[in-house]
Parts: sequence; C-alpha cells; structure tokens
Amino acid sequence: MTNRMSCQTQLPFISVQSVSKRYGATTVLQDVSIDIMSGNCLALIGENGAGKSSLVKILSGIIQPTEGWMDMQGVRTRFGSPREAQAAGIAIIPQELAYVPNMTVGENLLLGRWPQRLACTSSRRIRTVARRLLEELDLGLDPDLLMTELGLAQRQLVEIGKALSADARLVILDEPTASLNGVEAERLLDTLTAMKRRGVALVYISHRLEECFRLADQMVVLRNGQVAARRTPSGTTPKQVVTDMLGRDYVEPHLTAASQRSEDAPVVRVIDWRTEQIPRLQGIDFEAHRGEVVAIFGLVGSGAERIAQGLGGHTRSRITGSIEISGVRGRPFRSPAAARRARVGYVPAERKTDGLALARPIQEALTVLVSGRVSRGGVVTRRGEHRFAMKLVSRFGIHCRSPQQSVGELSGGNQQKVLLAGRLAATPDLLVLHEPTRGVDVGARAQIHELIVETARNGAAVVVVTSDLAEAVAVADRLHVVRNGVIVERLSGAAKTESAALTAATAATAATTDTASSESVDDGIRAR
Amino acid sequence: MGTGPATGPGRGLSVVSRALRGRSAVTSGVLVFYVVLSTFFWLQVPGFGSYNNAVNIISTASVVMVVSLGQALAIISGGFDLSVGGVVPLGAVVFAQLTNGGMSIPMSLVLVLLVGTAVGGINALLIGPFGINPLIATLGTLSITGGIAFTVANGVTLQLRPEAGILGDPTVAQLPYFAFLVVGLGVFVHLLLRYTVLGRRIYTVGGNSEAARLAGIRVGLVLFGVYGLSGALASLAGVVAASQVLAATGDIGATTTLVSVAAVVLGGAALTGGTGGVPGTVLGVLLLATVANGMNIMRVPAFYQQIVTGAVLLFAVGFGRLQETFRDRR
Repeated sequence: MTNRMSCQTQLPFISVQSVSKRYGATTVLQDVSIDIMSGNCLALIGENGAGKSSLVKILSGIIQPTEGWMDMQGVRTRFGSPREAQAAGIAIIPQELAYVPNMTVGENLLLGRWPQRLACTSSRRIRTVARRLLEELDLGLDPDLLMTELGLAQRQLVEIGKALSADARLVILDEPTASLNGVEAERLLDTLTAMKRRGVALVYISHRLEECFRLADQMVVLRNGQVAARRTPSGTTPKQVVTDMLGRDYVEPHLTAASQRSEDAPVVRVIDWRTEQIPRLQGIDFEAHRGEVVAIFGLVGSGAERIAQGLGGHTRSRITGSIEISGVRGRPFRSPAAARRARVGYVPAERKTDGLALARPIQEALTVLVSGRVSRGGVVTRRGEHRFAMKLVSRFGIHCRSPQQSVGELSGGNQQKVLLAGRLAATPDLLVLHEPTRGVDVGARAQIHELIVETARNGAAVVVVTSDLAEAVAVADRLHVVRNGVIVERLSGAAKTESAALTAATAATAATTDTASSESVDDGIRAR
Repeated sequence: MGTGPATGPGRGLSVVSRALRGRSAVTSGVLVFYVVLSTFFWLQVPGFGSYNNAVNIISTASVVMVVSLGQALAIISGGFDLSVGGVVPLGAVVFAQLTNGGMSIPMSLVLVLLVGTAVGGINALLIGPFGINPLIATLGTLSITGGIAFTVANGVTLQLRPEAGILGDPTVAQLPYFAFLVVGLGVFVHLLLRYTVLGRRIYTVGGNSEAARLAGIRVGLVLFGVYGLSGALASLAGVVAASQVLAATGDIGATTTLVSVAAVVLGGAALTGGTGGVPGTVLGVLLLATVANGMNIMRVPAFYQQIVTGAVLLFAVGFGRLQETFRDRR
C-alpha cells in the first residue's frame, strides 16, 4: 500500500487499449478500452451477448484480440495463451468451472503447480500444502475429498481458492455466485473484499446488480460489444444501470396479482415424496391447479431440485410416495418418457447439457416433441418444420436470423426461450420449470416470466422450482418454501414477500448443510 | 476420507474404503472375477496350478503387458493409441534387420526405441496441434506403421540371430530376462503416474483438458510424453515378441491393439480419460492371459476362445457398471 501511495500517478495494473474481436463478419467487441487498478474491483455489466465473456477471455489469454492490445504498467502486451496471462498474474474463474472431477480437492487447488522436487510429487506433499492453503484462505474444505464428492458451491470455492493460491494480482470472476446460496455468496463477497484490501485487482461479472454495487469501485456497462457507460456505484442507481444495459428504460414486468386458479380437481398432486439420497426429501406434499403458478423456492441443497427432477422423471434416485395426475394416482415417474405420457412438460435447469442439442438447428428443438405435426407419413418435412418453427419464433420472441441457425449460436436467454417454446408446443397440462432464468439476461428474464404466467392463464398448471428469490416471488401465485427436504412455509397473497420466503428458507441453513455434507461423505464411504 | 470414522466397527470399513479409494467398481469387480476364475481353473484343469504354467502365463502376457502400459497412458490422458498394433511389428522387424546387419544389440535397441518414440511423436503432433481425434489419428498411423513393418521385412519372416534373442533366454527360476524387464517397466510407469508431475498432468489432461490448459499446463507437451512413451513401449514389446520366437514378421503382435485397449478398460480406466492406473492394467492383462491359458490347456479351439474373451470383457466391465448404477440409484 505504501508503495502505491508514494507513486505520484498511479498506473493501472493493466489497461485494455481499443480492443476489438471479430469472428468472420460478426463483431463481438468493438474498440473497448478499460483501466483496471490494483486493489480495485471493476464490475463488468451487460446483457448476455454484450461481449463481457469475450473481453475477459482476451484478458486471460484464452482468445486473442483481432485489434488492440493491453498495457501492463506501461508495457504493451498481448497474451498468446492462458499460461502467459497466468505468468503475468492474471487468473480467471470461468462460469463453467474448470476442475478435474476425478482428482482431490488438494490436487485441484494446486492444479499444475503441485509441490515438486526433481519433477516428482506425491499425494502426501500435495495434501500438506493444500491443507495449509485451505486454512489460510479459511475455505473449510477437506483436501482429501474428491471433487465429485462436493456440492456445486464447494467446487466453486475450490476454484476460487485455486486462483487465490496462485498469487494472482488480477482475478476475473464470471458469475461466481450463480450457484451459491445466500450464506455462501455472502462469504464469497467478504473474501473478495479482503482480497481487494490486499491489493488484488478484481474484474467481476454478475447478473446480480446488488453484488456489483457492493463490491465494485467502477462499473463498465457493455452493450453490443461496445462500452455503453462507465459509472461508479455511488451516485448511480441500479435502474440507471439497467437502462444502460438495455439501451432503453426498463419496464417492470406486469404480472397479474390475482390468481386465476381453477376450482376443479388439481392437475397434479404430489403426495408424501421421500428420497434416500442427499439432499433428502422427507415428505413433500403439494398440488397445482389449472391457471396457477406454484413456485417451489429452496436454496442449494434444500432438496428443491429433487422435486423438479421428480416431476420431470429426470432422476435415477428412487422417490417413494405417489403422484396424482388429473385424478389418477400412480407412482412417481421413473423416466422422462413416463412424465411426457402424463402430459408433463419439463424444462430442466441445465439447458446446455440436459435441454438442448446445441449443434442442431433451432427448428428441430422447437418441433422435437411434436414431430407428428410436422411430418407426412412418418417423414419429417423440412418445410412443415420450418413453418411450425417460424410461428413459435415470433410468438415467443426468439431472436435469431433463421430457425435453421444452430441453437448453440444463440444467447443464453434465447436458448432458454427455444427450450421453453419446444416444451409448450406439446401443450402440456402441467409445465415444470427448473431454474428457468439461470444465467439469462434481464430482458429475457422478464420475457420468460411473462411467458410462465401467460401459460398458466391459458389453462395449464405451472410449477416453477427455483433458488432465485426474486423470481419465486415474482411469478408465484402460491409460493412454497423448501428447507431440509420439507415444505416449511406456504405463502400467497400479501404474505408472499421476499423477506418471508428468505427467512423460511435460511432459518436453519447452517445446521442443515453440516449434516447433509457429513452424511454424503458417509454415503461415499459405504458406496466404496 | 481422512476424517472418516476412526473407532469402533466403522474403522475396518474406513480402512477398506481407503484401500479401494481411487479404484472404480469395475476394478473391484474384475478382481473378484479373476480370483473366482483362477480358482475354477486351479480345481478343474490339471496342470493349471503348476509353476511351469505360471511362468507360461507370464511369458505370453509379457508383450501385451508392455503395450498395455503405454495404452494406459494414452487412455488416462483421454485418448487412444491404436498405432501400437503397427509399432510392435515395426519394432520387431527393425530390430531383426539391424542385428542381422551386424549392429550391436544395445545400439539396435536404442534405434528401435527411437523409431517407436518418433511414431508416438507424430501421433502427438496429429492429436495436439492438428487437433485430429486420437482414434482417427492413431488409426491412420496404425495402418502406415503396419505397412512399413511389412516393407522393412520385405514381406518375409526374418530369423533372429540366437544371441539377439537374449531377452528370451531363461534366468533364475526359469523366468526369461524379459519377465524382469516387464516388471521393471510396470514399476516405472506406476511411479511415473503416481509420483511425478508429468503423471499428474496426464491425469489432469484426461480429466479435463480445458482445466489443464487454464491451469497453464502445456497440453501438447504432455501428449508428446504420453504418445512418445506409448510408442517406445510398443516398439520394445516388438523386441520382446521377436526374442520369444527368434523371428520377426510384419504382423507379429498386430493383435495387441484391441487386446491392450480391452486390458486397460478391464483395469478400470474410463474411455473418457482421467482414471485408471498400472495395478488395474496389470490385472486386466493377467485376466485375459489367464483365460486364454486355461482354455488352451482345456484344448478349447481358438475361435471359441475368441468368443469367451469378448464375453469376459463385457461381463467384467458390465458387472462393474451395474454396481455403479445400483450405487447411484440408492
């Protein structure tokens, strides 16, 4: 610190100079210049596809700019590989975590930098160094556990520990809190603040604006690959930032408050669902009627995701109890096909791995459940497929050049719309959505929320399972809060507030997580 | 696991789990299967349990063992080395031609190893910088090296000078020299994987090559190590094969491609990379060799043996997979 104070003019740790990136005719970044100061946090804000990821990939040497360069303490630089960026003290924690699943926490923490003597290393030495590091960083992880034995949040912590222990002087975090619960996110923000004090520069990407406001010293808003605005948290409101991102005023989505729940028998009734596997369900009961949105809100590890997977038949673990669909009682679905036969439309949380064939054209994703309607004599006609897809593209506001474009080329929000539209094409009686707006930009998020409510109002029953509090409160007619495998709170009408839901969801989070993780370790032992 | 229960009845469990740690269910299944099978042969097949027969199994397993050690490296790194089926005969015929041409045995060995390493280097080049899928890349070099092997041998069987076949000469307890060589190589590869930085890097590249790249590991260099070693081991296996029969042809050991992949997979390695190791691979090789040996003594015709070998592979691996599935379902 004293060093910096004595400097007359403080040079940025690194400054990006007029960087552009083009892929063929597509420009993803255009003439972007930013300064990153040591000990400061720069929040990079923008909708999906605005160029945030490309910019940080250039900073960390994963891709190279088409034009422009970087200045490091006055020296002109370009990183040819992640290795070069790393040597310059730059670490990135990508959104899609880059860890080695079959290795231990310790091995991953020190990935590529294992303690060595004469090119040799050993598990014991790795463990010793890792344990010391984990204590220093206060991450509370066992270095001997395999990564596959950890929950998602803990895997994220390992990634963060990896960057910190590499003595990085600039750490880039891409949506680090997306899969963390409130307590864990809080702890991460504290860790990051402490890093700033130690003089580490941060580049922070998050859809959660409140985090950006808390952590950032400067905010750069990107739109269509260009810098749309530079702001500081003080003297700026979140609303202004959203306006910068969208390039227009943000309109609060209008969601009908009054439920239009039908008084007939419920479309689905879940009766006493229980599972053996962690996170464990311990007696889940609820129902959903035509015309209403039932939101199931629970933090990571609460068991909420098991409910979504159970409703979609998307699980290998056995669920006991029963399910009643339109008055017919049966066992919980054993396969996605069984759920589909019961006229359930299921939108899984992981659209890229579980939902969409990214390399295939949009029109196939839209017609996959209704191929009978776009074929003649069992042969799918391209024209029929195209015509059907065009209708859905305009109805759901999917931004694409053509339905023949591959799904993977779309932004996250549009991919999610494609997935949702494809499920709705089959006009399900019950629509189940799991984390419907994870990693989706603000604009698309509002549109998806409107679509969810509209689907219910058009006569389907909708169940939304989410760990996103604002989302749960916004879309729900009735809001169920899950904690520790049971529904601990049922909220509706005026009682349905964010604070009520969060209180119910977190009341015993610490204790719950502890037992859950130790039990899963025991499971691991028995399984071996 | 270090924090697992340390007292009472849980302790034994924890020790077992620690011992089996890192072994997949596939390996444990194969181990059980191997013990059951050996016991069956021991009881049912006269002569199976004799010392001579044990030496016999070790001798016949040697060539495949050496090749499989290299194959294990390739599979752990997330790839394949199909070219071994061409490099083994290439090593054999080059060794035969060099020694017949009057070159000293050590010098010939060095040159043979260089040839194998060079083929491996080309494989690494095709897979790394050129980005060709390992299956395709090594399928190509398999065909090329196999063809070169025939060319070097002029299409005929080359006799080996008896002194060039020294590796096949018996030593203590009737064991040939190459048996000790194989054990040494096994220990070498095991230590390489367990205790060297290169070993960790191989597991990392196979487990998640993007993570390896982001961690600053030069994936291309690691692949050079993997395929270079695999090529060198395969060419050495060719010399072993030639010394066993004092002859070399363009197709000696050409079947090792599929057998080595089978052995490594039996040993618990996943074709997706990142798992596996020498102990499992040794087990896989021994299992296949023991099945073949037992049936040979029982005078089961070769074509039935082929069927049984395939069935053993599917049964052993399938058994392990079933175990894993049941574990997941709980």
